[in-house]
This record gives sequence, structure tokens and C-alpha cells, in this order.
Amino acid sequence: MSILKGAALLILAFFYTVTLEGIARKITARIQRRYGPPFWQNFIDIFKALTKHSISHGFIFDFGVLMAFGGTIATVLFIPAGNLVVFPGLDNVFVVIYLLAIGLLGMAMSSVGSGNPNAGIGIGRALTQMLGYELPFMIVLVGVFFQYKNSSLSDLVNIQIESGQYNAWLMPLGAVVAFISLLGMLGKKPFDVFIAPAEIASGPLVEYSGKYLGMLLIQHSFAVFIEIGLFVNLFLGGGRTIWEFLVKFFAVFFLAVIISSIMPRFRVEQAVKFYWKWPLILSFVQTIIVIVSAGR
Amino acid sequence: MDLSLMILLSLVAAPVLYFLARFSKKTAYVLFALIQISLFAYIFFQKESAYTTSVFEIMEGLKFNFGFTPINWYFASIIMLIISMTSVFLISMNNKTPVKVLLLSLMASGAIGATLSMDFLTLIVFWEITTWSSLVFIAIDREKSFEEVLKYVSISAIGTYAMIFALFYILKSFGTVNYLEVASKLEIAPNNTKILIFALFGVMVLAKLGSFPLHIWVRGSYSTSPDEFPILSSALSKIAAYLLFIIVAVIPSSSIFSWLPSIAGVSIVNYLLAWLGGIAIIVGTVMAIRMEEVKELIAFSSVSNAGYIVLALALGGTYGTIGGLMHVLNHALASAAIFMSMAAVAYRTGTTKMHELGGLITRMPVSFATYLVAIISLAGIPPMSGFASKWLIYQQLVKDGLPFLAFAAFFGSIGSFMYVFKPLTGVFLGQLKPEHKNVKEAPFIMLLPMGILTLLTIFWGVLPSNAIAYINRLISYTGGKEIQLTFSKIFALTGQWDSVLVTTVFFVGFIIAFIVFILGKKAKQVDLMDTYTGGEYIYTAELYHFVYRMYRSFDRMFQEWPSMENWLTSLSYKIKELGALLRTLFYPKYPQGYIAVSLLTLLIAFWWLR
Repeated sequence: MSILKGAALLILAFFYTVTLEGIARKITARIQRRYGPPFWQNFIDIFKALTKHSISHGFIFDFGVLMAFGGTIATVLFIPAGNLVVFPGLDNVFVVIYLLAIGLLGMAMSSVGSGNPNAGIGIGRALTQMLGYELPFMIVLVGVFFQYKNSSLSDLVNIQIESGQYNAWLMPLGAVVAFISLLGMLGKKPFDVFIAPAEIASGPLVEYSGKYLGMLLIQHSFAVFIEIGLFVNLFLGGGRTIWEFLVKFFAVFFLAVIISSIMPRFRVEQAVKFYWKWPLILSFVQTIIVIVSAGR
Repeated sequence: MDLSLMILLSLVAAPVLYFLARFSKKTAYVLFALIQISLFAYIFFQKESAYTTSVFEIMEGLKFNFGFTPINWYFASIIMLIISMTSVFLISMNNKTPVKVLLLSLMASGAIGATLSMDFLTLIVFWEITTWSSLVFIAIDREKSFEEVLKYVSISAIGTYAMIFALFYILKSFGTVNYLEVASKLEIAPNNTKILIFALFGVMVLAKLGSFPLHIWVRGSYSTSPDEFPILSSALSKIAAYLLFIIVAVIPSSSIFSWLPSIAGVSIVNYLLAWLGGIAIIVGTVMAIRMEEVKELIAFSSVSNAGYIVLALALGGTYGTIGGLMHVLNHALASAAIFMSMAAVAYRTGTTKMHELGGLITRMPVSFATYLVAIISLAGIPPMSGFASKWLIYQQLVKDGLPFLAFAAFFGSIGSFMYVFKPLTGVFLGQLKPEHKNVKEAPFIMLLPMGILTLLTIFWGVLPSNAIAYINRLISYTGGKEIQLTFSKIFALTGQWDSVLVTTVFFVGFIIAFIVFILGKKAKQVDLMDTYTGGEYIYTAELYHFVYRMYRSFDRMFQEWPSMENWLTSLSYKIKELGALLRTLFYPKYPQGYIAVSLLTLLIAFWWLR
């Protein structure tokens, strides 16, 4: 049963996120007064990439891509989508966050293993920025876990649905901080310095072509699904049905896209300093409010 | 075999090995390895036994007491596991000398004696055997390490004197030095005594574990010593974790300080200690990210991980204690494996500076695999063993509701991705230097212990319940609350961690990835230099390797921060200047000076005695 559910979740995540990314291109284009590509353009890109010839820089270049793809697929299975929950009770947030890290490590290893310094620069920036956005996010999570004494995503969703109070209302500051961190996780502007196409030739992605690029595009879509799914489940109460979940998902994604399309780009230490200033302070304030009001 | 006899034999073996090594170094080293492995086996199979033995009356009623309790067994087997694996590793190292094997043997016997000790006196005597032999060992074959040894001497002297003072204080007030008896007497002791003794032992722990604020010896003594030392040190510093566990759990510090105010249910003394651990995590992480030499980098990561151990054990509670104890095991395994792979790289290439290396993955794949598994564990990513301990520590932080300490813990965890990735890039990935074209993989005898440590890391990553089952025995021995376990699951405050499931799911994901990969067209293999260069022509691999100052932007954020090492260095200059000033007064160059000084003395004496 969980195999079927898992397959369904993967297919859903793939088609929904790739479609949304296509729509995002359209939205960005309309904001910039362009016509923009059709919304199925990303499917065409992925399919085309997967069927083209490619080059490889040796064993670790291949292995890292497999690790990134495999790790991210594994992480998707721990994200509840409405009533489609593959591992109820076992979808611990710490597991999701750290399992996602194994995918990122694989990708980092593979791209640096290509020997291109642009990739190394990109990975250096990505890891530095990660230290920026993860910290406020984790502090907010401490508050959430303290409140419910639970860190299982599906349980948190059920608690929110039953009480009718989403965490976004209970912990508004925390939700804002988590959303700002989400922008960093997604690599949306103004936090996209690690892929900056014009500066470092797309950074980590510089050497990929053919099926490697195709796999990494799919991996990126899955990562987007995980990150936004995490936010929706933690702060917007997931959903009773898949549809409810998908609607909330779209709302968050849409907000991220329109913010991203009007923003310039931070330098990496500016991004980190930004995260360590207001988001971090707000996350501490929120967590302390939660801890004090819960009365220990 | 009697326990005391075993420790005695181990001590006696040291000079025997020395004389043997003068005839044949290889034989002595092999014999040393065999002795350590058999000692490890002996200790490991004493799991169920619980007996004590005392020998050698020093003075009235004071003897060396050794014994097996679950606590001693746990620490002794971790330390002996690393030491025995290292001793195998050393067989094929360069620069073998008779003195080294003598010192190594003394270090090992000191470590066994200290971890199997049943009282503070035995602990410190054997611990000092380890410390002094490692002091000589650091300075043994490099000139520049002399200054670093001075740092180590002074820091460990601070710790040792603190502990000796505490020891005699305990002996004088309570008439006993046995852990359990001291614990029961300390419950009813005056409040000042409690604080004094805890603080003195705390100083010893921080000094020897290399945690903030007594961490300044770690960088220098790891990076300038022979390559053998840092591998061993990852085990030897865990004796301090043993003492820490005794002072916070066996002598339950939370109950002896129950008269003090508490913060979030943690007594203020423990809370302050936990904060020292938290600062150690942050300082160690920031400094590790900024290092350019692998051994220095991992030295600071050891500071950071020592901080985790201090934080977790000081917080106490079920999850904190178990997480801290498991972190002792994980860090010992991971850092020994990292230092071994780096020693293997240094053995083949002669350097551990990252920008002088690169691309060694094709030449030394097994060392690479060892390093990779060890860093995944060190960064706390599943499915390696490091995840379970960090997960448990987070549970305790969430349970107590301590966001600021949680900040430190998360900083260390996410920062560790940065610093473990730098050597991965610098040493194993990226461009291969032309002078390393003919480098070969390390010899088999080096790969063997590396492989064993790697397999253990994976094993306890997939089945952390196995390691935690040992720790549960230890916890129930000290009267703490055990954690709930099944074969694959660990239950904690905020949910369950099913390691087997997560590992299985990861491999399913990997297989899906592999199928997609196979279905695509076969890729054309190209050289590492054949990359996108924006249309420029680049022929020099050395210049095309990006690792030096990889995190320059991060550096810029922290370069203005105060540095304790710089502050201490300038303090030492000031003291030297003061000394020079005094010397000009009392050792003048000309006889007139002496006359002036003696007249001055006479005048003062006359005036004073008048």
C-alpha cells in the first residue's frame, strides 16, 4: 500500500511542481511585460534534456547526481500531501531536513567533481547562504515542536486541522520568518547568488548536459516540492484532501514567484547578514513567546 | 586475567617494545598492534562482568582501584577500539622510532587505566601518564611544534592542578576518593564545597576535552604533531568525557545543585556549563570554516564537537545524556577515520594543505570513501551514525525549551556542512595536480582499519538502536531513565526515528535514480580540464583548482572578530616585555648598574629596617 502511495506522491510531486514552474515562468514574463513560454515548457525542457547526448567527468560526477536524485526522491516520500501520507508518524521534520541535505551533498560533490571552478564557487556560496537561512528556520521549528511536543509532519497537520488554528495565525512572526527562509531555500531572488547565471555561469549546474541536466531539473522540482510542502504542512495546516494541500501550495509558490521577479540579487554575505539580523531576532522573539505562553 | 595484572602488563610492555624496536621496528609495531587488539578484545568481552580490584597501596587506605561497570566498559571500549585500529594503521606509517612506540604504548596503558578507574586518584595518575607521553610525542620530530607543546603543557597544567587540588580537597574533607562514595558525601556537603569541587573538575574537563575557553592547544598540537597524534587524540580526549559524565551523572550535579535557581529545569551551574559548550560549538565551527589546512580544520571541528558533548551531558535529561554519550562514540569514530584518511594522503603526497592537493579521488578511492562516510556522520546526515546523536540532543533542547542553546547546536550542525565540504573539494575533488599523477592508494594495512571504522559508522547509522542499547544499560546503572527502543526505531519526545526505514527509502530512491540514469544515452567521458571556461584557454591544472579561501565571503564577516589566540599571544608579548624591563634593572650590562642597584637595595633596606 505504501508503495502505491509513494508512487502516487512522486508522480503528483513531479507533474504538479514542473507545471507550476512553467506557470512561474509565465508569471515572471507577464510582470516583465513579456509574453513568456507556454506553461508546459518545462516538461519539454526536461524531456529534451533526458534524451540528448551528454558528457561525464568521471565516477564521482555520475555518483553525485545519483545521490542527489535518490536522496531527494527519498525525502519527497516523507512529505504528506493532504490525505496522501506515505509514512504516517514517521515523517519527522528533522529527518526531512537532514535527508534533503544528503541530496544537496550529492549535488555539491558531483558538481565540484567536474573540476570547474565556477561550480566550486557556486557550492561555496550555497553552503554559506544555507547557514544563513537554516538558522532562523530551525529556531522557529524549536518553538513549533515545543508547542506540540511533536515533530511529525502528519501529526502536526492533524493537530492544526482538528483545532482549526493554523500555526500561521498562532505564530505569525514565525510564519513570516519561515517564509523568508523558504525564499532562500528555493534559491529565489534576492537569494539566488549561488546560481547567478551571469556571474558564475549558473554555478553548480555549469558542467551538466543531457540526462544529467534532466535529472537535476527533476531533482530541483522535487526539492521545491519538499521545501514548500514543509512550509504548507508546518504553518498552513496541510490539507484534509490533496486538493486543499495543492491550493495552499500554489498560493505559497505564487507569492514566492512574484516576490522573486521584482527583486535584485544580494551578495552572499549580505544575504547571510540579512538572515542573521531581522529573521533571526524575530524567530527568537516568536520562540520565546511560544515557550513562555506555553507555561513550560 | 585479573584487571590490574592486565594494566600492569600493558605498562611493562612499553619499555619491552622500546628495546625490541631498537632491533626491529616492524616487529615492535606489529607486536604493539597485537597487544592493543587483544586488550580491546579483553575489555570488549567483559561486557557483562561487574567486578572491582585494587592494588598497590600508596598510603594509608589509598589504593589504585580498577573495575568494570557499564560506564567504564563503554568508555574503555570506545577508546580501545580507536587505539587498536590506530595501532594497526601505524604499522605502515613512515618515521617509526623506538621512542614513539614506547610513548604510544604508555598512552594506551594510561588510557585504559584512566577509563577503568574507580576513583579520582587512579583516574588522574593514569590520565597524566597519557598526557605526558602525548606531550613528548607531539614535539618528537618537528621543531616548530615546540611552541605548540608549550601551549598544551600550560593548558593541561591548568586542568591537572585544578583536578589535583579538588582531589586533595575531597580526600581531606571526605576521606575517600571513590566516585560513588564521593557522590553520596557530596550530597550533604556545604554548598561552597559543592561549587568549588564541581568548578575544579569542570576546568579539567574543558582543558582536556579541548572545549571553550581552554581549546587553544587543539589547533597547534594537532597540526604540528606527527600524523599519528591527532588520530589517537580523537580517542584520548574522550577520557575527559568520561570525567564529565562522572561529575554530571554519577555525582548527579542536578541534584547537588538543587538549592540553586534553575533555568528551564536545568540547574544554573549545568546551564552555564552547557553555554560554555554552546560557545565552543560556535567558535569551533567558525574557525574550522576559515582554516586552510586539513588538520587545523578538523582540530577546530573537534572543538565544536567537544562543545556538543559538553552541552548535551551538561543539560542532562534522558535524551541529552544519551545523545551526548552517543556523540562520544560517533565523534571518536568519525574523527579517527578522517585523520586516518588524511594521514594516508600525507603518507602518499607529503602535505595536508588543501590548495596543494586536489583530484585525489581517482588515485585514492578508498581513502575518499572513508572520508566521505566520516564527514556524513560528522555533519549528522542520515543514514550515518552521527544523525542519531544530534537528533537526540535536539530532542532535549526542544524538551527544555532552550532556543539560544538550540541556536548554538544548529549553528554547529549546519556550519559543519561548510567545513567538512572544504577538504572534500580541496583534497579529493577538483583538478589533479600534475605532480600527483602517479600517486597510489595507501597500503592495505592502512586501508583495513579505515574500512573497519567506516563499516562501524554505517552499521550504527543503520541500527543506532544497537549502540543505544549499550547506553541504556549505562543509564540504568546510574539510575537515569532509559530510552524506548525497538529493533529499528528510537522513540523520543517529538516522535520516532526509524533508521531502517529511512535507509531503505534512500536506497529505493537511489535505485530509481539509477534506472533513470541507465535509460539515458551513455555519456561521453571527458577529461577534468575539458570544462566550460567561457571561451578562454586554460592549461594549468594547479591554477584551475578552486579551494584556497573557498569561503572568502564568510571570512570577511568574521575577520574583525576578537580572537582569543591573538589576545593571548599579545599578552605573552607584554609579559616578555615586562620581563625584559626587569632584566635591565637587575642584570645591567655595566658594573655601575650593579653598584646603583645594590646602593638602592641598601637604601631601601636601611629605610625599612630603621
